[in-house]
Amino acid sequence: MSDLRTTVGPLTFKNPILTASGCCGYGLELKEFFPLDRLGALVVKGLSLKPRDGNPPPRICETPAGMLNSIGLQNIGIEAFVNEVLPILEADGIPVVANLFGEEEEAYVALARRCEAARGICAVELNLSCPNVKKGGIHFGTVPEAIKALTAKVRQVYTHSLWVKLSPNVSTVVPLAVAAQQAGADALTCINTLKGMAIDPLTWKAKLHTTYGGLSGPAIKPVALRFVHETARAVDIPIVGCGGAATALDIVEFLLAGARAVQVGTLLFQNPALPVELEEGLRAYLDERGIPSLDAIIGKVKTHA
Amino acid sequence: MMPQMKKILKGNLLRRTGLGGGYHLLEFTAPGLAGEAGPGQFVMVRAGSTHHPLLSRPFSILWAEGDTLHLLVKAVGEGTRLLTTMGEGEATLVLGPLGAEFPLADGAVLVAGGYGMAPLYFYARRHRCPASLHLFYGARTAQHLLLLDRWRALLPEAHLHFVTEDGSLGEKGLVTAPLERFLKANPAAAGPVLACGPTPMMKASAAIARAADRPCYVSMDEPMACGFGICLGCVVPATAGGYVCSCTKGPVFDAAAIRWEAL
Ligand SMILES: Cc1cc2nc3c(=O)[nH]c(=O)nc-3n(C[C@H](O)[C@H](O)[C@H](O)COP(=O)(O)OP(=O)(O)OC[C@H]3O[C@@H](n4cnc5c(N)ncnc54)[C@H](O)[C@@H]3O)c2cc1C
Ligand SMILES: Cc1cc2nc3c(=O)[nH]c(=O)nc-3n(C[C@H](O)[C@H](O)[C@H](O)COP(=O)(O)O)c2cc1C
Repeated sequence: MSDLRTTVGPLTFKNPILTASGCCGYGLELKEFFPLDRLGALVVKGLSLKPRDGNPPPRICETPAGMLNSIGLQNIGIEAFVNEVLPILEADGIPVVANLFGEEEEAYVALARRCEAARGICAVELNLSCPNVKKGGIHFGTVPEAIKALTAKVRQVYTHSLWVKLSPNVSTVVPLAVAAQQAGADALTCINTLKGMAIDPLTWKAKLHTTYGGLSGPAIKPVALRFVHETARAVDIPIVGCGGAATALDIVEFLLAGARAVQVGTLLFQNPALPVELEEGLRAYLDERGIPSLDAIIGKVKTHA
Repeated sequence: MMPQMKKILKGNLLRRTGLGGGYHLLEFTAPGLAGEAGPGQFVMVRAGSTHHPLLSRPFSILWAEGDTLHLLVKAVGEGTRLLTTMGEGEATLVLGPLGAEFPLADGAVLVAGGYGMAPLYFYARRHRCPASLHLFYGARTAQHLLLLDRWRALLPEAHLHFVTEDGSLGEKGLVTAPLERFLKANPAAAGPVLACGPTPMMKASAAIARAADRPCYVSMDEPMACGFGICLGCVVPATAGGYVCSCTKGPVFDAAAIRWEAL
């Protein structure tokens, strides 16, 4: 039987199927559908220093093969997560990745410090798709210098695995990926949502309260694959793929593009037990072809010439 | 042992009956799920098998008995079009039972609009004394008032208050007018008002119930992506501050818990 284990830097996961942040809550709801330890790891909803209410509705709308969201990073805050949720997840024996965001560098640093001190978090993932209020609202994730400075500051206080999640809303990704690597990131997650918009042609109204939102789902998979492939060739640190994965063959595609693990987001809304199906489907794919382990397939895409 | 509280299953369409006015009655086999369901709860049903539509659709449970789940579905867009043209014997993903239930109380006053009738019918069927209930049921025309025979089998005729916008059946106008008259005429009664229908109708019902000093519960109709609390998409503004998910804290809410003016 094929070995589904994968490594992301120093971490070993029992399989490459992870949840995407914001698409699995804190795991407590998913637990009612399948045992969490069937996942490689759980990447929880983005956490901030203080709880956040999020945006007014409407917050979501469906689009062709995808959806737009502007949840506004509603979350219970780092303290409630560490004190109330982590102990439950620890009992489930599931590696937990804490997704973090803030509006200034100091917030990320304080969050990472809290995660360093907490038990049961194997990695932090920095969500950089956030405006930096101190720098005129420029998104942390769009300027190499900003990524570098932020990642380096977090690196100073956080000794475990540090993942940086890249935004696709940029013109070139390679300098951003290189900046994160130089500042000490252990892995890169590609990608967050693409900025988009939907309009009701009958009422002339924007469908989201915030007008713009983040596009996710199968519609963005080709973009995600391109980001994974491009960054995997530009840096030496591992890449975690994310964007539109829906089937075991999608997981195979992300692995071929160079991802060492794949996060599943939007499709969990349709089928919360999907990770189990993906794991079984991936195992069958590898078994049928006599592929012994994931290293025989990761990054092995054949390009033309 | 897998601790299973909510079910995901391949529901098989047993029977599909067109009711006119774009409404269809769908009966699914849903072993395990149907037996656990209560009035006010809903299921997420996958429409079709491609990425369009991508997300499942929420439907209140009209009635559940043994292994069979009954839904009342109005065709409004692509998802409901696919569901209401499904072939008998076809299977699709059904998730549930989800959400909160209406509190069972004697003398409850049911206010239904359109497909919002569904959970209230389940309520009446489950009630130990349906004859104590009153129904105010409104629709555009007589054609859109559904399952009247079934209602007549449950509630005394004098407790059935039908309203149509064009006057083709019952009183002409909006359902809230006879509701208000009824509550004013029965000031000593204390049964809660339970409303499900378009948001303006529920908002008006909540205001009328408050004026009459009656408790009021509403079943919110917010578009949902997941239906079980992980996307945080289907929120309503809460009186207590912030937002609450209508899939996990609702869809049935105490009307006083909702900040109506922010909706
Ligand atoms: C808790 C709950 C219970 C429900 N119970 C029932 C039920 O018992 N029977 C039934 O027929 N429907 C019910 N609905 C509504 C049903 O889910 C929607 O009609 C359905 O999702 C529309 O899908 P579609 O793909 O056909 O249309 P879409 O293409 O998604 O939408 C078509 C049109 O309908 C509008 N729309 C979509 N969803 C909603 C909604 N939730 N409320 C109001 N307008 C909407 C859209 O804005 C659009 O104009 C319920 C909804 C909720 C939240
Ligand atoms: C409703 C919703 C909420 C999300 N919240 C977060 C978040 O809090 N932090 C984050 O880094 N990404 C968040 N994302 C982005 C996802 O983690 C993921 O990057 C994106 O959805 C693409 O993957 P998918 O197509 O598999 O969903 C969210 C996505 C959705 C749909």
